[in-house]
Formats: sequence, C-alpha cells, structure tokens
Amino acid sequence: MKIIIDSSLSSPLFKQLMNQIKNAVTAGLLKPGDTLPSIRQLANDLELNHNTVAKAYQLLERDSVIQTKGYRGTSIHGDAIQNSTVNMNDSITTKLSETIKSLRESGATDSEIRIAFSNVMKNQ
Amino acid sequence: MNIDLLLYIVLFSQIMFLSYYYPRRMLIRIHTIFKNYPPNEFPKLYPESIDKYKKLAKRYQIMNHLIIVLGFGLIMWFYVTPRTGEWDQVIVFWYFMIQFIPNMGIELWSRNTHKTMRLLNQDAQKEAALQPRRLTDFVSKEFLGTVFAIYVIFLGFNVYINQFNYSWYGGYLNVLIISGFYLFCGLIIYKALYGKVKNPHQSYEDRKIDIQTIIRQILSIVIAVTLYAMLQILMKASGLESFKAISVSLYFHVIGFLSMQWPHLAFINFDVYKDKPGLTK
Repeated sequence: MKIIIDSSLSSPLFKQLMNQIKNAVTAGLLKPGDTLPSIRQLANDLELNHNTVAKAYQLLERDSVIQTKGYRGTSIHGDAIQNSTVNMNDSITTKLSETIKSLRESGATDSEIRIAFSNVMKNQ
Repeated sequence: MNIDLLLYIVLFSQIMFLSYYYPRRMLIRIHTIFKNYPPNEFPKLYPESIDKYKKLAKRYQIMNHLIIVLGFGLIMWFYVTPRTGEWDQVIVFWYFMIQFIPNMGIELWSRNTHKTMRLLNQDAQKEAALQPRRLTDFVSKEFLGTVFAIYVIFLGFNVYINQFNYSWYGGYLNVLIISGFYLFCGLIIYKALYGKVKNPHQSYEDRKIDIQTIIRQILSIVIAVTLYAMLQILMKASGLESFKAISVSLYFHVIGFLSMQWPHLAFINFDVYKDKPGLTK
C-alpha cells in the first residue's frame, strides 16, 4: 500500500499522513496488527522532516489508531477501525461549544470567557 | 611454474579485467542509456547537458587506458628489476587502488547527478510504501547465516593461530580490524535500507532492486574479505609468502566481479524520467 503526500496542498503534511493512514484502516487496506514503517524510514522515503512523521505517529497513537511497542516497532491498533472514524477536532469543537453555551447561559460575557480560557491554557 | 611468471600472468589478467573489461561493460551500459533514452524523450534523466555526460564517459575511458599502460609498465618493471618479493604485494595493492580511481569518479558522477535531480525536482507529490523494510526482505536468512558462520570461523581461526605465538602475528588486532569492517559494512547496509532517497524520480520497485543489489554485494565482499584475511595468515604461517602478491591480485579479481552485478537495463523503469508520468511497471 502506498502513501502520497502533496506539499502544494493547504493541508499540513502531518495531517495528510494521518488521514491517509486512517482512510487505509477504514478501507481495510491496513488491518489491526499490520506493521508500519519506522519514523526514519517513512520520513526519508517521503523526504520529510522526521518531526513531521513523528507528530503524525504521536497523534495517531493518541487516537489509538496505531500502537508502538519499543523494538517491535509500530503497528495498527486492535481497535483502529472504530477509532479511525473519531475526529479529535470535531470532538474538541463539540465540547467547547457546549461549555461556551453553558457559560453564556449563566451570564458570562464573551470577553470574560476568552480571558478565563487564555488563563487556563497558560496555567495548565 | 615459476612464481614470477605466474605473477605476471595474474597481474596481466588484473589489468585487463579491471581496466579494460570492467570499464568496457560500464561504457556499453552508459552509451546504451544515451542511445535508448535520449534527453528529448527522457529529460529528467539528464539534469545537465548530455554533452557533459559524454565528456565524463570519455574521460573515464581515457583514464582506464592510461592505467592499462601503467600496468604494462609495472609488469615490465617487475621483469627487469631484481626483487626480493617483499614489496610485490604492496605494489599490486596500490596498483589496484589506482585502478579503482576512475570507478570512484563514476560513483561521484552518479551522486552529483542525483543531487542535481533533487535540486531541480519540482514535483510536489511524494510517495512511499507503508510497509517496513527489513534486511530479510532483500537477502535470505541462509545468506545471513553464512556471513555469521564465516565470522565465527574467523574468530576460531584466530584463537587457533594465537597458540603458536608467531612473532609476526598481530593477535586479536586482526579480529578488531575485521569486526570494525563488519560494522562499517553494517552501516552501509543500514543506510541503503533506511537512508534518504538519492534519486527523486526512481520508482519504488527499482529502488528495492538497488537496495537488494547493494546488500548482496556488500555481504559478498564481507565474506571475501574475511576469507582472504584467513588465507593471508595461513600463507604466512605456511611459508608461502612468495604467493602473497598473486593471491592479492586474485582477490581483487573477485572484488571486481562482485562489483559488476548491475541490474539489467531492460528491468529498469525509465518512464519516470519522462516529462509527463508514463506507464509504470
């Protein structure tokens, strides 16, 4: 199975990598347990910075689409098929929307919400 | 047969094999590419003017011709000069180093061409296979086992020789040198497997063939070097030093032969060098 990235597109390269791997999982081209190339191999083959591939792998692992097992390398997670359909950005947007709606209903202004959000982000 | 006569024959063979036959095969390959894959149809294959590449090929040919003349001069010198034989092996070794220079030039030419290809490549799309590459994808476990077995035999051989306490014997320094050489070759193999893409246009299938060729050549050379190291020690221990120059020349024949395992041009996908994507294999 081949992966293609296009640097002329507006989508960040790590996002393109993530989406193609997730699409491959949902299409059945990659199955749970299938091994993926190392970060070094994929970065060199795609002529990308290692950090770009590392970020894609890190986020895919966070989303439980892939799992890394030390010297045994990286493989597709057992629950990858259902986890590939979960979009973290959509999930963040939904939770934030609910929180902001609730705060507005309790009387907070947009400015207060923005300042409080910024402080919380700085302190955490 | 007289040892000197044998040396002249083997040295003549080394000259003709490494400075005539090998470069002739290389030049036939280069000119076939020029003829069958011209710049007007395969522009990406020639990041610079084809005239420059033709000049480099001509230079390669002339250098090898000069080295042949030098080699014949060397044989004449061996013939007329009274020698004790101690320096023969060293002279044969350094002549091989000179024979190697034009081929280093070809390697540098290739690297510079790939570098220019990368600089000129405006293709925004890059593709890669989503399968990990493993050493055993390119070489059999039996072959790897053979390399390992020969290394173990070499270790055992050194332990055996060490017990005789020869004054000339370098002891476990031999093991250190050969082990270092194994590590060095391991690094070359690692780089071939996982290193950066050199030729940005080469198809992934052709790249795999290149990787396989490199790995097999390196492992074959590793076996040849180890066996040769044991042979040299054995010859010294057996009082056969007068044959050392002959053995080193024959060894260089083997190295030259192993270096000639190039992929056949018919199996290389040259469509990738066309301006528009052509049919791929």
